[in-house]
Amino acid sequence: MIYMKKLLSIFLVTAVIISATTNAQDKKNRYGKLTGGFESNAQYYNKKDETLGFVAPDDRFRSNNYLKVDYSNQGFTAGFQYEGYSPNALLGYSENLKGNGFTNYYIGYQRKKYSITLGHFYEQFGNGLLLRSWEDRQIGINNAIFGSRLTLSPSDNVEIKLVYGKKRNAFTTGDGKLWGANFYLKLDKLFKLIENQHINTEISYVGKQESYKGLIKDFPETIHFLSLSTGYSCTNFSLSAEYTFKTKEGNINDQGNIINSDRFFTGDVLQINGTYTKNNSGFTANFRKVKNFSSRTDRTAGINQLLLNYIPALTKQHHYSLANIYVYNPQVKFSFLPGNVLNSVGEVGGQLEWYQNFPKNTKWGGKYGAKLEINFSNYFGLKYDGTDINTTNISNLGFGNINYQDFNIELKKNISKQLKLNFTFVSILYNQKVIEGYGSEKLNANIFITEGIYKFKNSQSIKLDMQHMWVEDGKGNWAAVTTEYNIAPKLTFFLADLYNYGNDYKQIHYYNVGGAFTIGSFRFMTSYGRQREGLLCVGGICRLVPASTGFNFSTNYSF
Amino acid sequence: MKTISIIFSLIITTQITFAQSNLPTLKNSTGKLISLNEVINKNEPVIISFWATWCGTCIQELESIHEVYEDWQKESKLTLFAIAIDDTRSQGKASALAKGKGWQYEILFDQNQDLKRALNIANVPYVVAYFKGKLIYEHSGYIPGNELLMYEKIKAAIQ
Repeated sequence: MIYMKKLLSIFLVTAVIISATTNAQDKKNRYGKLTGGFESNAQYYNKKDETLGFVAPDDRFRSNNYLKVDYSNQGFTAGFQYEGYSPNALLGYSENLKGNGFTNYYIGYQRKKYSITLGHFYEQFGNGLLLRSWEDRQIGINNAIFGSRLTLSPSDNVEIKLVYGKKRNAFTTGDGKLWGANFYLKLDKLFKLIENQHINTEISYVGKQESYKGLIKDFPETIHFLSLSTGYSCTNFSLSAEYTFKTKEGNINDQGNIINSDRFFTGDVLQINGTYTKNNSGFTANFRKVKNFSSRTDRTAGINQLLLNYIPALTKQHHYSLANIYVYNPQVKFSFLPGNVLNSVGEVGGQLEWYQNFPKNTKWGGKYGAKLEINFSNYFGLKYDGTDINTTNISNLGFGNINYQDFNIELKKNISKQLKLNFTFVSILYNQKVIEGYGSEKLNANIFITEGIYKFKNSQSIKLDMQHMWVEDGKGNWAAVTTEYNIAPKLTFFLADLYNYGNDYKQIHYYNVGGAFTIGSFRFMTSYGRQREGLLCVGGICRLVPASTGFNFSTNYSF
Repeated sequence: MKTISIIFSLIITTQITFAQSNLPTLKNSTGKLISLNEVINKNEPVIISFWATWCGTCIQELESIHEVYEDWQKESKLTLFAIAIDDTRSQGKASALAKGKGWQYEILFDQNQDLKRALNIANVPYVVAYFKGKLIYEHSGYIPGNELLMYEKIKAAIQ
């Protein structure tokens, strides 16, 4: 393994230098192509902020830096990612991210009917319920697989993938091994379907193995995961269903410790999705049941590290700040309160959504048109009895207490060619005890948001949004205002404040002021202000962001 | 840090082509596999807009283009491919949202963000335009009015 790493590094650096020192035209014809990207996110923390209770660490300047370079020449590809956390990673990221080094590197060869990759690669089988490896720098995830992958596409209707390796963990890999196979088949011809009708099916298998040296008898070291999914679609309608199952796995509590019990549990997921569209309308519906299914290649890895699969919350994702305070964290594994008291074993629920366009010059659309979105979701805990893992009985599809419920309605109306208005109402019922392990079982939040964009001349615009959230059983009410002044195509300035009030202990303004400069693929952003403590979630994976005050700098460039 | 600076300065001091040859294959809403290499090598201009159902600014950009898209298509025969980078949390919503906005774009799914990674795109919205395989425009982020400047660049490049 070490030899392979060295060989790959030498090769990659040579490839970069050869490519980078030749001129563009030559490179295109003779030496292949070089592409890449650079990203840097830095913060300079204030020494302290008494209102927030924040005290900066000794090294007040921290930054996360990423350089990715890819080289390709006909079917041949190679590349690397170099990461620098100088001198330490931003607050809230894993402590393993410390120092500099090559974190990802690969070589590959691609032809129309097959491709081979050696080194680090990203992969997802089907919906990712069995296997997903991905990168999300915002929440500090990079669990690329280090190993080998073979993809075969013998015809347009068949794709087969075989993978083997270990998942990346900061500058190294985890101990647990994984292997898997995925078959994707288009069955249109087999069923002799008419044009615009399609049937696909996907069969996936993943295995993982990690040795166990503890005292629990028959503790499972190798776990097998199997999935079968199928989907039908025609011009206006689609329906898909997936069922996945895993063999028995040992029990881990929320702190990543093995629970001393010789009773092990299987897990499964059933997911059904439907879509119906017609002119100017779209509807979607999801149903999902999850029992004990989230898994890691290393069973005691830290939060967000070495995740094997991906089971996101199937709820609306918001882009307004106040609507992102009480977000659902899906209940996809056993979770425990202190003393290993069982708190949740899974979830069952669903989501409905309706998008409607009212074109201009119609009764509802008026002269300039309007748009409506309605979303509703409701998730219950999967029913179980008792709170002791050794004696509990878990229902197969029983509905327990409500974990989360939300209703969202959003209306966008163009008042004139210059002015666009947007009104949003969100109502949330949030079981804080299940989702965060403490607090109210029925936290209720109602949010009203209004936003306006006014465009003057062809290149300048002002955006203003005002938000208010009424909270029962939480940390009080919130009000927020954001204003932006934009000059296309290069400049943006913004000023924002979130104000937490209406509670008995502390009222806090989270203010931020900043700007961004963009030219082509280059973007630089800077801001000064306060960061609210909370969960930053992308998909269903969250990072706990600590409260802080200071300057932020962010740079992106791709080439 | 030294290594990173050396490599980075080597790269930015050379002229580098933007041509791509090993782009991934993406699925459309019916599960059909679409080759991005074939898309960017079309004889007509192609706009590739990276967006997500949860990205307000992305939707704002695609709505602004929607207001002028018919005129652009008539005048320049261009096609816009809206690449949804949504993961499985919201991927199923993208087609319904597009219909509910009245969009006529080709929607493709970058399921595990393979194309976004191949083009080294850090954040959405991000738009690139190609004509006969050559990159003629790219821009990170969206500010109202950007779409008009982009269209001027495209018109200039195809004449």
